[in-house]
Amino acid sequence: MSVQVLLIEDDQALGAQIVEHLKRDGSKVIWWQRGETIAPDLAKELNLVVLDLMLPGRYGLDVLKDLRTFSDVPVLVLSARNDKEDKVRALKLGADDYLTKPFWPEELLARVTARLRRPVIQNPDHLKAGPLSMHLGEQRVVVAGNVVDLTPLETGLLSALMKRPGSAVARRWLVENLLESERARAERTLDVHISRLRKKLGQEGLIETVWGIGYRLNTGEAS
Amino acid sequence: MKLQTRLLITTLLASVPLVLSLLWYERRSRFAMIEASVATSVLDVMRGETLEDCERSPSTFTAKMPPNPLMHRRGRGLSPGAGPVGDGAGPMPMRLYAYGSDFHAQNPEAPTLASELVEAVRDKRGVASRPIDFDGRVGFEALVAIPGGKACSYVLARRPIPAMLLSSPFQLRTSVAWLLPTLGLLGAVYLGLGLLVRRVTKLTRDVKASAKTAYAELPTDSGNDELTELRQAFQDAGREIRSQLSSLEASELVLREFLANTTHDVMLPLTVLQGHLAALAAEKKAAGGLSTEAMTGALRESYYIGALLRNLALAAKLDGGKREATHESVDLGELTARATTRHRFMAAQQGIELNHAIPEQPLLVQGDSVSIEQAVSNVIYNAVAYNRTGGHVAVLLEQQGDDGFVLQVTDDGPGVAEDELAHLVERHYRGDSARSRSQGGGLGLNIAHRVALLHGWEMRLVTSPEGGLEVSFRSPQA
Repeated sequence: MSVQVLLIEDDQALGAQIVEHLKRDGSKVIWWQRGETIAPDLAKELNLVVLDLMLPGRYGLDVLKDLRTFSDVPVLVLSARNDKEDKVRALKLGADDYLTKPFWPEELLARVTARLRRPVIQNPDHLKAGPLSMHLGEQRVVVAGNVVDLTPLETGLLSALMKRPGSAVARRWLVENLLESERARAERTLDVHISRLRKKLGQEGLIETVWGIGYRLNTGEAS
Repeated sequence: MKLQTRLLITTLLASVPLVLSLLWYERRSRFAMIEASVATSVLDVMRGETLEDCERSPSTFTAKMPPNPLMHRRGRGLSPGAGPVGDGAGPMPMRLYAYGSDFHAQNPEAPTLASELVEAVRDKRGVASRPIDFDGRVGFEALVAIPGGKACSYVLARRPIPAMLLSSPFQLRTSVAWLLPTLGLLGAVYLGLGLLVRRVTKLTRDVKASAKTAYAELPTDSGNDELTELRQAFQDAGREIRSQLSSLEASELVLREFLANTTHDVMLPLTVLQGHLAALAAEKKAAGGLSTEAMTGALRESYYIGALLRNLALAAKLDGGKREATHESVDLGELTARATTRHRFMAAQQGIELNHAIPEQPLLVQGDSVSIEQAVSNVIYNAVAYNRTGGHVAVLLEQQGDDGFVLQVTDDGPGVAEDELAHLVERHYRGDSARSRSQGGGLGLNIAHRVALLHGWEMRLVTSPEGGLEVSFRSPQA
């Protein structure tokens, strides 16, 4: 099922660009060029609203206020003011995220993706990231359908990486929190364990070494 | 010197000439008393036989009188000298010499009359006197006109002055009589002025308090003297300052609004421009080509202008009075991820690896989310914009203890000389090295520094182990 996005943006050039980027990203886009009340029936069909604030017709924040009386569809607010008041008011009125201009298309898509993938209910015992799936408490991981057995330390390392999608994890944190004995707390030891884990998972580039930080799980998604 | 001290000193200084002139006046009065007393004694003596004696043989006339009791015991009034003429006894003898109407004495022992005495007696009075040397002591001579005298028309009386009269002017009883009222008067002056000083002190306190509270109205004063007028003058000056301040604030507000609106108006086309540039770069890449130098240049410039505009708006706000951070709960982890995302596209365009690491759980701090995000974004911008192709930027947020944190942005781009590091946060500093084009004329790192200060954090700039720059924000608990 494709994603339905309502874009409310009065500027012709910017609106056209956003529509193009969202479509290229696989979304269906409805584009309004003035502020109007969103009908409840339409709201039910939507997965996301991208809302500019300065609009002809109804002011952006009023559109948001009305919408929130009956719908909790995610709303990403676009603002041209790097201003706390706009942001605070938007978030208070129920916006889920905001983006200040100028922005690169990639930044907009990253925020849209982040809003769309927001899981409503998250199972705390089950981690999923890219091809990996893991039940906490079990010392194994499912990699693209294949079950791989792990040591307790490897389980700890992998779950730490899976819990932070898009973000890297510092070597220091892994060493201090996962390597138990003082003797084991040598950074070389960590490298050895990561190397073994990489081999077991068998997927090239799944665990990346990140310069200046440590390791990151590369699931192909932008953060 | 405080007014109170100055007042005390002035009172004391003023009392010195006053006391001296009173002493001089008392001494003069005593001389006048002695003169009157001597004249009375002489007139008392130069009667009857003594006068006849003198008239008969002026060339041999000389008489000595015992001292007048007045000379020894003051305060008994003017009583004529008692005792026989020429007795000569007593500690303070008085010698008399007779002179004719031409002021010449026939007695060779008689001293020549001082012209001042002669003139004084001739002019107006029957008696004149002056201090003299009397056998090596301080003495006194008085020339007295004798009524009915011919060869003895005038008599000069000479005598020493009792040491007591000369050496101790502060005779308790007489001195107290005028010293007390004098000191009382001075005391009253001091107290009266002291009241004024207290009012001045209060006025000073009120004016200071008013200056601290945006020149608020001073408390009123019910008096109608010069001090009340001074208070009123301060009141008027305060009103003037308030009105100037509010008109300044109004014009500053207009300027800030103008800046905000202009920024707002530029942000939109800039976003569109960035969109076009990104699309061009993507098309070029899709066609299997590399971005041209011109395209990369255009991307970098629009990247720079965007950063500059965001900072201009924030700088205006930071300069515009509200200096204390407004407090809200901010998830520093989410903020760090968001700020990093803003620069990911440009990092990729320049072939720079940009990564971040944040704690698994939200890291909450109290602060102003917009300005913190801008501060973090500025540091990341700096690390990306001045890096080289193939370079790295690492943004690492770590929790320290229960509620402390360290947020560190490290790069391996061209480093900054040690002696330039401290200057990087200065507003208009431009370093010499490759990192010379500090963002927004040095605005970016300067804003980051100011935001850190506003939140009570430390912003540290050091050379990273890889030779680039390492900028960190630390909470006091870290």
